[in-house]
Amino acid sequence: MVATGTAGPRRFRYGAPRDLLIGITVVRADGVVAQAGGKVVKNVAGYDLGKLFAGSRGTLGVITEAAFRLHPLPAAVAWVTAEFGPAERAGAVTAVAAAAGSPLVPSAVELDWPGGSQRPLRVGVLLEGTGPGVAERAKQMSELLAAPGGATSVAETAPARWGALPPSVTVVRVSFWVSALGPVLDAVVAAGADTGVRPAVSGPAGAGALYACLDPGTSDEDAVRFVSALRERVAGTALGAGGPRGGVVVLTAPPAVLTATSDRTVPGLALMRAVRDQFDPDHRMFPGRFAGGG
Amino acid sequence: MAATIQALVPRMRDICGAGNVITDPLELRTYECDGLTSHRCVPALVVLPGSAAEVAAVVSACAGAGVPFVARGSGTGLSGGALPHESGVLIVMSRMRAIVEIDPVSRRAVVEPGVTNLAVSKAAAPFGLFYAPDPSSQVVCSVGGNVAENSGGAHCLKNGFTVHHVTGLEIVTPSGELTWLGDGTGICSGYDLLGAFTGSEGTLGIVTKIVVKLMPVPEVVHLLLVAYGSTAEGGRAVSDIIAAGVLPAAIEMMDALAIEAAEEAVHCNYPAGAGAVLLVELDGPAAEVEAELSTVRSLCEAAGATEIQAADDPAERAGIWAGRKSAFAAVGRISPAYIVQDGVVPRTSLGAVLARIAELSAEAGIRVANVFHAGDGNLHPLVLYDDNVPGQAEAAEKVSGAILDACLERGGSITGEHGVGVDKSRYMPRMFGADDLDTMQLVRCAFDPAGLCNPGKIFPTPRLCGEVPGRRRPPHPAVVAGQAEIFLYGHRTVVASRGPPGSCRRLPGAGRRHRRRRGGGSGPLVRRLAVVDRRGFRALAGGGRGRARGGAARRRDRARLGRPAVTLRPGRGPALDGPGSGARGRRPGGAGAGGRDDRAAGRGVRLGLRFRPAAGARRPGRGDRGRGGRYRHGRAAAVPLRCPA
Repeated sequence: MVATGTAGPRRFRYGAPRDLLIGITVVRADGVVAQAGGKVVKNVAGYDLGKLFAGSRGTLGVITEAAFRLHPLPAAVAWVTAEFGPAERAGAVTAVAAAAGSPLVPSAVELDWPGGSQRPLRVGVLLEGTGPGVAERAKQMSELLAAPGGATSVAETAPARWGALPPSVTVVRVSFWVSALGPVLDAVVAAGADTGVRPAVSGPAGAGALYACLDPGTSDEDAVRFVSALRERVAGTALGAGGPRGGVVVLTAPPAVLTATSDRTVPGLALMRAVRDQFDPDHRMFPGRFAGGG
Repeated sequence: MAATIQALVPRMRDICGAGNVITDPLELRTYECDGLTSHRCVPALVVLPGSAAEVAAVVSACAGAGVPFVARGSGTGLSGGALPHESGVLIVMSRMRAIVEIDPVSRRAVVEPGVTNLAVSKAAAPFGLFYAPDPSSQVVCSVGGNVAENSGGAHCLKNGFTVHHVTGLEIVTPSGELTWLGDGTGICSGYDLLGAFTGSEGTLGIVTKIVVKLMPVPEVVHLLLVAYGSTAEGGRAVSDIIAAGVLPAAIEMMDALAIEAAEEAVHCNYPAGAGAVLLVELDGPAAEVEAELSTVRSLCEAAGATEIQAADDPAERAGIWAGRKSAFAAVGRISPAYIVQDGVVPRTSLGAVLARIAELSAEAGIRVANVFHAGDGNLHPLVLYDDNVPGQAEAAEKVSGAILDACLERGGSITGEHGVGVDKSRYMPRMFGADDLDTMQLVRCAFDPAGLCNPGKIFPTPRLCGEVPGRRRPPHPAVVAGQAEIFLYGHRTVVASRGPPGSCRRLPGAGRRHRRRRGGGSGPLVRRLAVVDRRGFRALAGGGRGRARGGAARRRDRARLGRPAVTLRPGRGPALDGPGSGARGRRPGGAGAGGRDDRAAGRGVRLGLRFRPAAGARRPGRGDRGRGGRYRHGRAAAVPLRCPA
């Protein structure tokens, strides 16, 4: 998990592994064992190598020990969900932004859209805390989600497909500023229409990410065409006056698709190469998994 | 002013405008230190660029000339991270203070590095948002500086540090290129260079634009002021609160001495006669905070609280916080000088470490006031001393070093939020092994192979990275023949040394020795200083006291030493520190010399070439130190580094 930097719905409140990793021991490509960080949460001594290794996909070294910050288990949890009809995509977008920006401190704000223009969208919000607190916040959150037209319900168990991606071979992650959620959904639909694939969309939309999952039957060519179409369409929403605001990354895919879609425009790619060259000059650690290919 | 710097001045004026280049010696003094005033160094040149493009041009010019550069924000750092380089350029970012954009829906703001921390929260306030990291200096400290130091603040217990709130950085790399780290969303693809860069103390590049997360302002905020008879009782309450699963926004503690100081300074009306006070702040949705508040109250009472005051309106809270936030300054009223430490211990060891601090304080007769972030175990012991009393400064340094040792023994850290800078680099080997430090420096080498970007910070021994640009030079014949060895020596060798980095004598004793032998010229020692910079390794022009030999000896010296003596080619070339010559990037002083603190080189690696003394020759000793006085240099025995023949 640390090496891939994977995070589920709670990413919204608690972050990814890099945010909770406080110490790490690694074996470098040249066999040297090194550690960084420590066992205390607050620590700024030296470079934070944990950050670098989290998400490095094994290309910098082998992680042999990791120390994490833990959070207390909540006394009570509640899921507030809101269903929006296929025609009310804009309402779902408003609901996501409202939930994510509310002072009710949600732990997760998810969007689930099985895909296709005829399927409803579901916004799911997880609330954690004390018993009476969660009940009160769930009520307020319901009102918030109902305002843009959602059919809300509150439950103490997770809704179907919570934190799970639809079965697929190719998963494409789109990251964005939440204010661009609407255009991003439009871009996914349009890219799907361009290439004849119908991706299911799901993920922590409140945290600025969605996973577009292609049907397992999708051919490699279609997948590649979908990714490039999506990149092209998202590029328009992902560049603001203040710099980059998102990107499209293929997380899992058949090798041919991965090679054909490697993103050579990732910010800081030259520096990433330099870091890799320092840690593993012969590129012996998991060749092919490096961002940008190679 | 050195010739290379002099040559840069017109170029800098072209880039930044004449008014934004400072060369006047008096004005330069303004920038001689940051918040840690015990380290001072006047920069050779100060520039104040006004845009990212200007920063990139300035850095390019420095990189091209091989001149070191240091970035500075508001200069409030407490570890000397922005301490200038005596022969380098100080790049001051305070003109770049535009808030470029605020997107309330995305809860993101894009700001320039000179913007102050509090200004971001103020700009976000109309949207019901705020910027969470809140170091005590937030009124003046810059966001760029926060990124460099990965600043925390009282509320980072709940909200996290700067690294958790930065989602994109535009930086100028040490070679002068403008690039982005992170895609601005906080969800990274590829290596998390954004995370590695944050907290790198200005050694990996200069930030020119920052994308930060904004958080919704909490519905309610409650502050409890709890008095205890002792810090031990207070410590127990802290553990109980966290163990109960409550995560307050902040838990701060002050001991009796700190309370006394704060009371005198700001009349904060803390309960009289308390041995310790605890400030517990709870924030969040109203429904949650009510429940948490009663839990915390009962836990505090159970731990033996003598008094509890509650405050929920902003004015009352500010009154209580005033005591805590003014504590550092207030301590200045009860002591002429003090050292702030920043050690961290696991929360469960708080009581034991506080007891140890009291013990150390009693043993040395040095008072220690404790003001700290109890929730995350981040201690700020203020070691009080009077620098007019001989020996007190040294005793205080000793106590503060021993406090860090006590933290490390319990699995803690030497710094929780102030950074390593120049101040604590000598303690790094106590916390990390040689391999750990070497691995960290691989990152440094990837970003800054020439070692020009804020050199001398964090690491006690710089690593030489990859191929040193410039003409390849063969090793000095004397080295090859085994007649000479390279040595490396540093400065600030004694803990009590008050001189700024670089104030050391260049080669203690050598000059005198040579003068004594003038005319004779038969001494066994021939010394000449050398510097390593991006162009390679060369003798200092006119430097080194070997000149004093004069005449024929000088000409002979020049023939031998006036040209580069040995290739420092850490690529696959000869290693400088013994076996393993095939290994990459060995740094001088590696194996045998690692861990010495006397090489926290403020101006890069200094190497000398020393001819092996004849058998029985006297090694430099105390008498060779040169004049004493304020900038007295300690014993700087050369660290011999044999060059494999």
